[in-house]
Amino acid sequence: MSASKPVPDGWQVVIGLETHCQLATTSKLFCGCANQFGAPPNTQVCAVCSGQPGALPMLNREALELGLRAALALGARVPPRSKFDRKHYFYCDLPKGYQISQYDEPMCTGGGIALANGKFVRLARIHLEEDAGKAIHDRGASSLVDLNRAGVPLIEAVTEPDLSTPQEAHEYLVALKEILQFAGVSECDMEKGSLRCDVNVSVQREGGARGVKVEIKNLNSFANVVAALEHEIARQIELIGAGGAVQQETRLFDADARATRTMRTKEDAHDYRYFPDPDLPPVTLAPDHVELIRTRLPELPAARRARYVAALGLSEYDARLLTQSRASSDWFEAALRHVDAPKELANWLNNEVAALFSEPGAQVRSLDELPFKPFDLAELVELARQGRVTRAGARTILRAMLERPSGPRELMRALGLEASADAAQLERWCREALVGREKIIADVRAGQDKALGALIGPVLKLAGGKADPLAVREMLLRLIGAP
Amino acid sequence: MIDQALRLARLHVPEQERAGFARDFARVLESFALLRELDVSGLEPLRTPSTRVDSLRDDRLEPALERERLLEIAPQAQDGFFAVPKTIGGER
Repeated sequence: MSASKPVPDGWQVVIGLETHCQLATTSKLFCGCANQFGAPPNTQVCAVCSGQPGALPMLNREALELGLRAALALGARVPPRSKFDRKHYFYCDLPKGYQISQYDEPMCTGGGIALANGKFVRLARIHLEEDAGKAIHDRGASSLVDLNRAGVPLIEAVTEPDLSTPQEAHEYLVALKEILQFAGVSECDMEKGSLRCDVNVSVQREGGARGVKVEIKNLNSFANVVAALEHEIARQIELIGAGGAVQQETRLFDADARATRTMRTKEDAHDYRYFPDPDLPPVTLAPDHVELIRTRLPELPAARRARYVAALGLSEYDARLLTQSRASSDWFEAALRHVDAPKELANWLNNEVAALFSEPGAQVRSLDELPFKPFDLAELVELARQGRVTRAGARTILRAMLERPSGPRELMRALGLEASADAAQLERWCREALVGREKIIADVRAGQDKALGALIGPVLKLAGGKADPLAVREMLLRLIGAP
Repeated sequence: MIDQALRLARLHVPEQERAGFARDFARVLESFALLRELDVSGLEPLRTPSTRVDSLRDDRLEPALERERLLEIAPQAQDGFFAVPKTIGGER
């Protein structure tokens, strides 16, 4: 992500976010149809989610649990009772003519996310609702409707207008996604649409009256959220600067044009005619049940990072990299059970292993795709720590572990990479390299450490890759007797 | 107001029938106004007429409808989809 233009001096930006997230249930929110992405159209549809007359919805226990888990992970309050309401609008992807949502008694209120700059982004509410189907408009004379997604459980998390820059919005979304993934609430896969975002943004002159709010929809990546906000902030400032006025409206983001365009103005703002859904009884929650869900929450990313820094001595940077996903964090901890060297292990994961993922044509792109187990990497790290293999040798072994189903120890032997543990051998190589290089030796003695480099290379060459450069350096300094 | 209500409900009522419709509508609203005069302070709102309490279902799959049967009752279908008059731009 490139650093975006800062908000110009003299202006203030007010941003609020509404994020929809599909819950990782087996079945839909109010019926037993599969909640699964990618099935052939209209094959996961029943009388309830296709809106047939007389069909009765019944709430999915797991969806409620996951929603509560999300709420508690975000520090929200869960009132003892919530209810479902009908939100009415007409569109071809909504078979009933209304969406079952929660209006004035949502599943939870409050909570929020702390940003790195100390700001706490407050959540107004999180509620449960059903997703709509999908309409396709580019295949012939008709619009085509697939109801597989209709009725898929969603939570909608709505922030207070606490964000002031596109970067803060980005940071909030990254943190939200991490928390929801760690809590096992959702895959949060934006490409599959399981995480979607709408933004509200207004600009005002510093200290001036609150600006007019514009809503932007259709944001299907975090990069697009930032791009849409940057564009919209610039558009509004330019408009006001030229003496114009921002109109309250809903705009769509066009990712190709990287611009927003009007979708509807205030005049056709919706009157959703909410009313309580008579088909669904209110949801009542016993406080001890809510507490039980709270105690079962896994350790969340911020807590893990803090523990990695405080208890394991990792840098903030390493801790952050390792907790980018629950899978990577769990992988690290599984390996750590077999090698008592958190820093070295973190270095290996964040440098050598990460480098494998970003190579062009890489077969493996994440930890869970690795053909070897955390135990194997732990063993490799231990071999390197003990000096049984040089860093370069260990890298070669790591690469070989991708190709062959052997442990690092066997590969080290098979590839002849066992480092000479024999100091006498190392000394012989070093002495040999010193012969005839008096000028360099004199330079090193005079304190020119850089000159040492010209000696290390020849030793490594003599050792045929079996010597550790660091050990060579130390041995050379000892032999030369440098200050 | 009658125009707004008709627009929201996507109902088409010919111009010459609107006056009569508006009169009926006004009478309905008058009835509600009567209800509004009642003193309901101290009464819990009835949130649902249902006597079911917390009826939750387990997160299990039930068979879906056969797609052919589902699309059979649609006015129009195409390639496994419901086909509807072209509507561009989401309304949500």
